[in-house]
Amino acid sequence: MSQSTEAQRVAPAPPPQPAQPIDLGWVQHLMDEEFNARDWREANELALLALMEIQEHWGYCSEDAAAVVADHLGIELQRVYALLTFYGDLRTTPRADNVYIACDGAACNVLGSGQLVERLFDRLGIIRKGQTSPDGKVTMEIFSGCMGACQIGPMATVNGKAYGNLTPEKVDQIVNELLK
Amino acid sequence: MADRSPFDQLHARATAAWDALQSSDKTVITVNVHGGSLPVGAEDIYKNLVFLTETRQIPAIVRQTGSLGFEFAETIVQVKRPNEPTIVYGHIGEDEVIELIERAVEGDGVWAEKALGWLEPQGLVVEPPLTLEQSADAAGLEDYKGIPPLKRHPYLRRQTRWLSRRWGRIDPESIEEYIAEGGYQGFVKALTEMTPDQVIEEVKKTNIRGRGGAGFQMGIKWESGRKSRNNQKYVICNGHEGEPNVFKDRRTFESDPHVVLEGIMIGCVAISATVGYAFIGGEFPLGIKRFKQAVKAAERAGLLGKNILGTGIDLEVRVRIGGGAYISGEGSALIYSVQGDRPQPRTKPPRSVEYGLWGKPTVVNNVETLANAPDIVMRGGEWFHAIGPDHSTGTKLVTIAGPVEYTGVSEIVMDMSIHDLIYEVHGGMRRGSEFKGFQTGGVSGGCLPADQLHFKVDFEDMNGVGGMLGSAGFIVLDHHTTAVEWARYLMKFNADESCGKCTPCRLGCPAMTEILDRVRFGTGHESDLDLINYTGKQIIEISLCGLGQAAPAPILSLVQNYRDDFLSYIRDKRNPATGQALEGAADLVVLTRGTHRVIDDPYRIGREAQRAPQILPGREIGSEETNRKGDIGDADPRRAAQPQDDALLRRP
Repeated sequence: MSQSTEAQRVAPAPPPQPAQPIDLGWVQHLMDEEFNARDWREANELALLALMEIQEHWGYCSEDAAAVVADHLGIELQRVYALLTFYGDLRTTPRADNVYIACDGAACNVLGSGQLVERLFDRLGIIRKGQTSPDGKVTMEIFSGCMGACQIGPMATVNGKAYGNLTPEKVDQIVNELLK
Repeated sequence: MADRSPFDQLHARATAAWDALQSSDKTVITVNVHGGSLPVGAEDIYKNLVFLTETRQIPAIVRQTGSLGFEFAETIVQVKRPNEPTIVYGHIGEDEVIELIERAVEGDGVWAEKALGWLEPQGLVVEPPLTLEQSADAAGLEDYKGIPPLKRHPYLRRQTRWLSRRWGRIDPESIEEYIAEGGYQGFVKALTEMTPDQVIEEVKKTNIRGRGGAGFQMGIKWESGRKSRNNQKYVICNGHEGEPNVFKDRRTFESDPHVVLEGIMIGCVAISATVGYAFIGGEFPLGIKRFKQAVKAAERAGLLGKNILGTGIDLEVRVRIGGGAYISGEGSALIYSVQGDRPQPRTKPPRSVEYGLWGKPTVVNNVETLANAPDIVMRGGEWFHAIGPDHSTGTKLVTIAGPVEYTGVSEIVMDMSIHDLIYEVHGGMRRGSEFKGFQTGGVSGGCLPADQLHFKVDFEDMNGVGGMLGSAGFIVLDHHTTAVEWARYLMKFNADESCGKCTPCRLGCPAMTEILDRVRFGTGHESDLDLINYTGKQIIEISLCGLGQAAPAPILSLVQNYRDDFLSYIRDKRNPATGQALEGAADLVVLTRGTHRVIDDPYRIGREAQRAPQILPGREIGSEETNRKGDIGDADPRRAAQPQDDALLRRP
């Protein structure tokens, strides 16, 4: 298979531009208020917490925001980038308005979430977890840990609301609603 | 001078308030709000109950609590009317709140269809190693208005509730209720009445082994931490639970955060550390929130801070949060994660009790291990040692997920067989599901077939057949799942979560995933089974950390125990569960679960990396002659497949 066709197939959809970029003043304010290290050790310890806090508020953590974090804590920028790129939870690009998080923990998988995930990938036209559908409407995430609601597996959370005992029909219904 | 009077005053106040709540002349409605009930609407039910009791002017107190362990019956609401026992209702939907009020709170106060059982005032506590049913028999509990005692519920009968005795009972956000239920007594005793050496002596007597997976003796760890001479030491609570089916630590944080905090504090006192850390996985925001509140409350109560109770001891507990990397649960990786480095394990020794966080001696213990510490201090090591067999003392929180009748967190004495655990505690298989396998040790142990269920759930018994207690998260597989699909899932998880530091795990796990993909799409060959064994054993042998060494273990066990499944895929090109013919990824466009990737050459990763052997499908490797001894070296397919290489090497 030639290089170009492979590139076409695996090329991720371009991430939608954020409606508003992260307000760096807000980040600076957050750092001033909550992340004041008493020594260099604590400064290093706080970096990850600050990134998580920014992501929780804005949905992602841009490299500019990471620079503010590094600057405030007085640690090297590459250390912050190293965290930003290692952890599965941290994102550098924003998500779409709709976020579909499928649980693919062991229990859900045994109950059939694997097929549902493959079905969703086809339906949304994406090939990798964390991608946004080409029309920019839905971001699909897979949670390979456990969401902790194994009694209703296979389950998924869509925009924060949980759906349990999913079947292919239910999934289609949910996605049709999102893509409308 | 040590002065425990401030704590005793607090205890008296808390007990009075707790007793007043128990004998309140209002109806007490308790909603179990935790990570397992929030997805099914517990928050809405709570808010609706508050709203309805106010608008209908029902004299009632509506409160929140953690999990009772009944994950399958969420949302659970407990109703205690004045001068009546608590009745526990399960399966309450978001739209059934009005009915609940009308039938369980007003009227005759019994909604028999939804009732799981009635509960005594002291809750689900039982003195181990007795089971709940034995204690119910001893107390002669009988039905109340036609509702059986909760202790006789089929899910609870064989369980022993001790570590989880406050779950679903106290408000996890209230330190007073924890103190009223005997909380922080152990810490204050360790602080004021015992020397650190005495504390460690008691812990050593218990023979308690770590609950996180490795099963290391807690007493030995603490003693090494105590003996390390340094001006600064640390205790870290490993609350990172990244395995895809384990949630006992999460429920502990959500239902009884103070007991973990108390365990950390006792650990700090025992090894003379002044700073303790709680490292919590980012997956459970509610647990993080409740634990942070617990720390703040303990600071306010004077149990954390400077000069605690006049003893001159300073103590600080910091909360650190992981970012969703499975590897963070490994001891040394966890320390790097706390330090703000990439969590990648390092070689040991030095062990973390010698060289840990910031180069200082550090004791790293699992949540459940630390949660046992207060009881050990209060009751003594011998009491604990008497529970369960000698090599596996104490009770164990167990999570079972999959198609069983009762999913949830159970607590057992480690003397029960796997069969009893599945069929007598967790209710057996759901209707329409046939038992197929029992995955042990999260994603790191072997998968046991039906004829191996007589082994005991403890640290030793099932090791001989490749099983592993791990953190006691188990998965039950039914006949809808094939061994190939399951192996693929586990391997994919490990490949995704590999930290990428050492080569065997970084390249070996994806390579094994590809082999399994070949098999899964019908392009596998019988020699692939030997290749799996060969690659897996190499990964086990030369990986750096425990997670890499454990990653191929379940796959090797699956190949051994469910060879028929694999052969059905390979020979008959048929999925044995559904009977469907495999589509055959003839062009090898493998759209794999989780990561859709295009593979133009099934051996690409191996070839590019020059790691895996270059074998073409069809070549018999690891056949009778080459694999006679079954050792790794013997089956080296490179030698079998490429004789011409040897010729090159022998050039004069």
